[in-house]
Amino acid sequence: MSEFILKENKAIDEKYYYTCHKSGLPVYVIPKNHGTGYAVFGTNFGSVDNHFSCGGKETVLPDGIAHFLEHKLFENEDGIDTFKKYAEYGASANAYTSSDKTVYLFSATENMKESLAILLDFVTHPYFTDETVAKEQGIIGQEIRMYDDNPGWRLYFNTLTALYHNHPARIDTAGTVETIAEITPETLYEAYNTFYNLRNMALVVCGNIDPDTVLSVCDEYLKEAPVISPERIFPDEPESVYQKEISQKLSVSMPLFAVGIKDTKQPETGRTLAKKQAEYEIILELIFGKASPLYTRLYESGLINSAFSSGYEAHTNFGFCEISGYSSQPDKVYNEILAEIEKYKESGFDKEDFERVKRVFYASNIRSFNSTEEIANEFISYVFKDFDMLDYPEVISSVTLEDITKRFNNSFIEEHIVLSKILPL
Amino acid sequence: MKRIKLSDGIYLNIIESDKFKTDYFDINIILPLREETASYAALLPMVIKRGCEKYPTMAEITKRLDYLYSTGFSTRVMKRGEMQIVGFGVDFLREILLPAGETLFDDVFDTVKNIVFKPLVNGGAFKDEYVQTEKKNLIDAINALINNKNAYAMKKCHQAMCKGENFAVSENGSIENVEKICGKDLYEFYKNLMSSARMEFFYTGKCDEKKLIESVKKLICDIERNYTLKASTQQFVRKRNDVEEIVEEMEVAQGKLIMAFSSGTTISDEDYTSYLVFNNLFGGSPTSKLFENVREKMSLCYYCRSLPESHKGILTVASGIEVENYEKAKNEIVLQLENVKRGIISDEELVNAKKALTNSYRELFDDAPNLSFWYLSRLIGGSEKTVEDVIDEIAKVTKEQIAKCAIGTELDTVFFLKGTLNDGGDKN
Repeated sequence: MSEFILKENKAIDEKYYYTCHKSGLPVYVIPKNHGTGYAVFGTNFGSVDNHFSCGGKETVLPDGIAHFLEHKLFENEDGIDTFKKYAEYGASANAYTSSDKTVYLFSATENMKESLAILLDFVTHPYFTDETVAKEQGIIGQEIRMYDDNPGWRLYFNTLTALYHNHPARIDTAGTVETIAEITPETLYEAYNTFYNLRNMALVVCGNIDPDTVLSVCDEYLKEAPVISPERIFPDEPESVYQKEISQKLSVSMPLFAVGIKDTKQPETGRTLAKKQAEYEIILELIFGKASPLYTRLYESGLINSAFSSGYEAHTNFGFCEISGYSSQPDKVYNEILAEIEKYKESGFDKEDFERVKRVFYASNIRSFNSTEEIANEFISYVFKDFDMLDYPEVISSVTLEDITKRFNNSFIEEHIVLSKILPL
Repeated sequence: MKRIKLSDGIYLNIIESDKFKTDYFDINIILPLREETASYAALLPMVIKRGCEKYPTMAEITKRLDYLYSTGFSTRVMKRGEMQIVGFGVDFLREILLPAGETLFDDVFDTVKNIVFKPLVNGGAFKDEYVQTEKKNLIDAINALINNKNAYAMKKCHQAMCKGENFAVSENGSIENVEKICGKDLYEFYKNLMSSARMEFFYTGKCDEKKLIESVKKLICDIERNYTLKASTQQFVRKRNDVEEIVEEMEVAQGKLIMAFSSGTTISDEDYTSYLVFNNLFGGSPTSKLFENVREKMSLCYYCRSLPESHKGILTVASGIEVENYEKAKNEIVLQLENVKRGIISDEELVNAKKALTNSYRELFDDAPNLSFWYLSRLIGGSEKTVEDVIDEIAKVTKEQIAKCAIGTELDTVFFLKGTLNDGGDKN
């Protein structure tokens, strides 16, 4: 195993092996005693990456192409569906597309090697025809319609629409029925050839498997990738928000609300990004967590219920906080939230609460190492942000009261806050 | 799994494992699902979560759990067949991951005892303020069913199919019944539940067994038991010869098709495993007949899957489709079932279904809450089989058995939530 580098975090009893395979693909193997092995093979290509230049040529692809491509890769030239290939070895397969990545995965309790071979094989062999593209337009069309009726999903994307003037984060991952109608085998191949380059991808395998076995499958299925350097082109995004308020009517029983706070410090990667994420999460828990005075007040007065939650989404090119829930009076909750932020600007945060919340995040981070699925998915997400998951506990520990106070004062600014609502018909 | 009887109707189930970062412990209280009591059982954990004698507010409970290295405390109310389950779960860090010299196990059990078994009671009643807020939250939750169109359509379909039966009662009860509850009655219900209902405790992790048994015994030591509230399920029997079709219009983009079948068998039956293989092959996986035909060949939907209710004996097929494809999708689903009935099953389909199912059962061992729930569901259905037993049985299932399962599966009720919107709603 001379090719592998071993990295360990003894405090949380976790380790992994890393190597850059000769094909150009970064490979991570995380040993675990679980019966369930879990592998993710992903590309740093998501719904926001449809405008780029490569080799002097500038390209704009239809909205929703990354997600469409994810669906289409499951079809193969030999006519055998990928799910069937996996089924022969008993593995359970899936894939997902987010704003910044596309990930193909499987879990298996036996035949890890054979299933890994299928994963590497089908993702590196695209096959698109007019006929199969047309068929998929029907299926994805129904997926889009399903999300049109999903109030939580609409709330989320409306928030992004309000936060961003131009950034493609505001576009629904799957695109629209109109934009996917523009997709052809040619556009799919163009996206594929640009972003499904092994140097832009990563493989993470978590479970009871020998790193050398993983490497031998890589040797068999992966050819050396050409060195290309596509440049993603993002439109200029002003610091301000696009609109302060957005609302949509759907058949829901009571209003849903989301308060979005735009993070204007972009782009960031690696430890800087991870530390920012930890700081935001601690701030949000302090102000909006279940033990906070605001939560208690709003809950006891019946303005929110236990679905109230907050979180920060960290991406290299965009980031935002979302505080969301159900309320019969969303405007009132919004005003309470704004007032609470102002209050903390004056009072600052309590040292004891800060220590408690840090402890909570430290422990909940350790908890994410319970399942091979969670480890592999989190791990690859950090890889694409140029960060190491095993360093996160230390990053949380490093956050100081001064850090969060500074972050809070600079980032929780009313002009950067929006309100999104879903209202009953 | 080791099963220990602690008292009349109270069992501790221990699943030893050292691969997790956290230990998992849950309490399940099982009662008959009835119109008169369902709302009480649904409201109870919501009120309990608000405060106990020692930690009288939600903030104090949260701070206590945070202090215990972010111990997770969750509650749930579910139904399986005609049984309602009130559940409380905790997961907490293994002591070896704590700073040297620190312990957690005893503190966690002490906190659970405080929250669940020593609630905040004044003059024989739960705190009125908490009861009133949680009643409103429960009513909101009942109304919120409509937010998830598929779940809404499925519930409406089952209610129509099992009209007049206990299965038609929702796990949250009804708004009408929630409104009637007061703090005193709820406390009486709680006391009665604790003394007379079946309790199943599950522990997954690694600890000293003696110590665990002592800790669990301590939880229940103040309860005077009188185990009389026994729960069971009446298997679904068809009451009609035709198929009932219900269409409800709603301002949504996508139509939701729900087809409910009588499965003719339940988890209590010795050969139920063959039904699980049948379900997987028919509509339970991405290599199933429904996925392959309704989605992949006909391009009618994004999802089309079948799901068995193993206690009541119902199989439900759900799909999201364009409104004009209603007949087309329905006919195809019926046709695919007909194909299984006629034994049109390839070797590949049989092997794939068995492998997929076996894999999903093996994966259970890596998910403590799901593993506990799997056993709970089995135990309350009167089946003492282990995961390993079921895996062995899967291997032996034949095509003939699968066809027999399909033959026993009869369409009873179809519910269609007919979307009346052509685009995603009106946005501004």
